[in-house]
Amino acid sequence: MKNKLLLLLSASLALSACSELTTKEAPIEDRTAGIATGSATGGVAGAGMSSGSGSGVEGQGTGGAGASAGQDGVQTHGALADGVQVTPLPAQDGEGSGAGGAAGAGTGGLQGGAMSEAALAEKYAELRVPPRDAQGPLAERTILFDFDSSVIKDEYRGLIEAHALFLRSSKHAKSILQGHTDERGSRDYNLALGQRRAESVQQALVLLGVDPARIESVSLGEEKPALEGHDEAAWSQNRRVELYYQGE
Amino acid sequence: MIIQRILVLLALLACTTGLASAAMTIEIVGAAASRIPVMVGSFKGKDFSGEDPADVIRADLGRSGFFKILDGSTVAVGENQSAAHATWRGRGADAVVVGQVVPLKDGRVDVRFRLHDAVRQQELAAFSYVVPPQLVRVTAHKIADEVYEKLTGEPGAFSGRLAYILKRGSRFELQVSDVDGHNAFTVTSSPEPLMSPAWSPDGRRLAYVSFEAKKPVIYVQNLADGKRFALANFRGSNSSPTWSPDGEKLAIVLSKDETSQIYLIDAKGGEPKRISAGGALETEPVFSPDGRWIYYTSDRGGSPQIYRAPAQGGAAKRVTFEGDYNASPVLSKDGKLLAYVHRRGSSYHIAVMDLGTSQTQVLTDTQQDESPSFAPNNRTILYATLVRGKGVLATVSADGRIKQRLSQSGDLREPAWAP
Repeated sequence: MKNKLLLLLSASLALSACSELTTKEAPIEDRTAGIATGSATGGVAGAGMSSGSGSGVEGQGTGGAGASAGQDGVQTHGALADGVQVTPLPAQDGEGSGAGGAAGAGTGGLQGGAMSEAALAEKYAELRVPPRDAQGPLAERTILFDFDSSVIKDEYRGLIEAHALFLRSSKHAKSILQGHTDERGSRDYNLALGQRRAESVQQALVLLGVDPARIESVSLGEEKPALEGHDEAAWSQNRRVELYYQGE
Repeated sequence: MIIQRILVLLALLACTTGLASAAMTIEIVGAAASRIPVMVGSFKGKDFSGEDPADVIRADLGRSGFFKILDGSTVAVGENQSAAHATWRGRGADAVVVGQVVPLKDGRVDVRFRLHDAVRQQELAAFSYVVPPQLVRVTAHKIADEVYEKLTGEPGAFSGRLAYILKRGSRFELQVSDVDGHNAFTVTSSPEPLMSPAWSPDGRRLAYVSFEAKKPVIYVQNLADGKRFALANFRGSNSSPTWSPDGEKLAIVLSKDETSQIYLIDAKGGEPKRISAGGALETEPVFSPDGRWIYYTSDRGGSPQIYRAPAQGGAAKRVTFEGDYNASPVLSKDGKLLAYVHRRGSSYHIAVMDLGTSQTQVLTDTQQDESPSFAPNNRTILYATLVRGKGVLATVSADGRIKQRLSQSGDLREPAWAP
């Protein structure tokens, strides 16, 4: 009974966290669209900016994450103002711990303020899989779960936002989410549990604007452990969703 | 508690495909309260050089836990010798099997046997089986079935077959073998996982799940010619196949519409028809033997429990209530018993419920027991467990008294007893 309550509670918490993300992300998406048209027509500054800072970005290898509202705002501004040189802002430290704040601080920091979401979107547009040299959250592919849970922990928000941005930006990329469980209990039930974990990540990506048709959630149940052991050290690494792209 | 521990090492003969050659070890723990003392004389006359059926019969009967096998070397060869009831009684035997293998001119052999009740001094059974020489072993299992039934009043289950998954190194194999692990042959082999083997009611086909496409897809394969087709390859996961008793349909689990739901699909393939209502994870369907009901696992109540619903869809009724983890339902062939996986503390055990009285009993005491499957005689439940981190198969009598373990080099899992 207690378990059930906890499950319901954590599920509803996860959902509310997601909806919070949605409302915060929506304006960003709108602005992304705005930037895209802005840089396409207004052109020069945007192009100059992205080529200017582009090598730096690639050198730094920051795989962009879901952009923070703050940075996005700055860059939007820069992109729209003709001929204005935009200087990347240093990473913001010690921002609030709330959902929005955490996302802003986290992704802002990882991005190093080097590349705008618009520039990333442009860079990603023709890619089917993330760049080989991607670093940061876009290079991460594994989300770990608690026992008997398909609730995505807060620490994976950056990873999910980074892949959501990639999937939104790329014209062709298709993602495969593989759910896994530890070895305990029924194999078939575990297959269904792994499926729900994958679907939980899929739902988070869809709430961030990814077309559901671009994602297939499947399960490998307990059949493909990351670690072969029979203890919690192995089990905790085996309860996971792995994110792949078609063509990998 | 442990009454007896016997270790029997049996070497696998070279098998038809040559793929599956390894030693299967069978270990027996426990025995019936009173065991019937039986003597089995050698079947091997001068004219037959193959494996002695008596060895197979002794091993089968001994493993069941219901018999005490006495030294049969003093019993003369030949099924037609005059019964020596007094001598047999003097050596402690209640029952005696005499027999003989007679080669025929056409290359076949005649396997003949008689079963004598040494106490009442009468003949209980006498049969002759004319078979090709490679079927002598199977015939010996059939004789053991016959002896078991005549002496215990219940059908034997020695001549059946098992399907199971064997993981060796990084390869997965779906194998079929005799119940004692002999004559194993590989049905399908893959570098990606295989799981959930399910026998068709006629024993000619196996449905199973293969991950060769990096996701679970359900296949149906003929055992005779090895031909197979993908029964269900829908978006998402395709899993947990089980046959209807008439063999016309399968219940399967798909995630194409929402999280894992139960569907019916024609055994030849086609459009699946959803029967579960949704809103929760539902998996592991099995039909009742009359085909009217489907038992399955659902977490609609917050933890996995077993439910029952009409096979055509309809209101579900919860079946298990004890504990917060009950899964993998399977019904005895007479529909009277439900075996399932039950978690107690952090351990997973095989439990059985009498569906008439709802009385439950936990049958096993190992830690990670799963995949229960009934023997055709309903007296034995086959399951998979871990012993020192290695996957082995095990059986337990439906009253929990007698246990056997079957192990091999490699991980054995997901056994399914052929109908």
